[in-house]
Amino acid sequence: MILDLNGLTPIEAIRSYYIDLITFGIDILAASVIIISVIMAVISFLKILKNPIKDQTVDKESIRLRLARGILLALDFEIGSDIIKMKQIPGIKELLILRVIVTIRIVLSWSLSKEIDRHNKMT
Amino acid sequence: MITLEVIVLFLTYVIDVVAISIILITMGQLLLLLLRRALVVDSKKSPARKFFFNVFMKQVNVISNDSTSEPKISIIPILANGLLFALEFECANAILRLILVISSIFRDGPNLDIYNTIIFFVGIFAIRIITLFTLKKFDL
Repeated sequence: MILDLNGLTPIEAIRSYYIDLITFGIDILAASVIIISVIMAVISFLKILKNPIKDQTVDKESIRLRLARGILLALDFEIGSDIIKMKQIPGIKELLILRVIVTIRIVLSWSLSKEIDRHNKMT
Repeated sequence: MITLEVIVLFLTYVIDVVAISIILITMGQLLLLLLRRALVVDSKKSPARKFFFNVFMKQVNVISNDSTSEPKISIIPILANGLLFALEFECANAILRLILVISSIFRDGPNLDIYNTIIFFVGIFAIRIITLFTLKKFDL
């Protein structure tokens, strides 16, 4: 990451630099959470493959919900990152796109948390 | 040059392969189950066929080793469960892609790729919700 001073006052440039750095860090964190969850889900799936089908269906559901929890955590990180990014949006079009993405993410995370709650109530 | 973007892109392809493999495994298991059912019906005519097929099925773990009767397993929940599991992976994939695409907005401005990714994300999300709703509605 380079500190670009073109067209910006030093304070704005420093702010922009730190916002970039923080959002980059959060993005890396979110991506790591997703990747670790996926790896754990794949390992668990490979482990249950030797069970009979009926048992696999139940196990698959619990692995899926564990993966969903990982996705939910990553989504929360990403929503935070997107809100910080809104601080330095270059234009109205980019702002609209970001808003659409944030809305979709919020709806997905709400749906995931509902599903996890329902599953917790059932068990 | 190996950058972070290249690594994440590679991982999205790996997740795609995993999701496809899960669907294929589910389909394979269902086919074996259906084949077994068909043979159980057919074995009333030929008991020898039933014996050999049961031995084969126990080897591939479609039924447990101690079961001798036909297992009462419904096919639709198994298929839907496999599909939902694969969709969860695709959801993770879409989120990873969105992370890449959003960072590209700041570099290059909006492009066609971002619209494609949003459509992909919404599509997967919609299928996921519809499948879950259907499973719940019909109590499968």
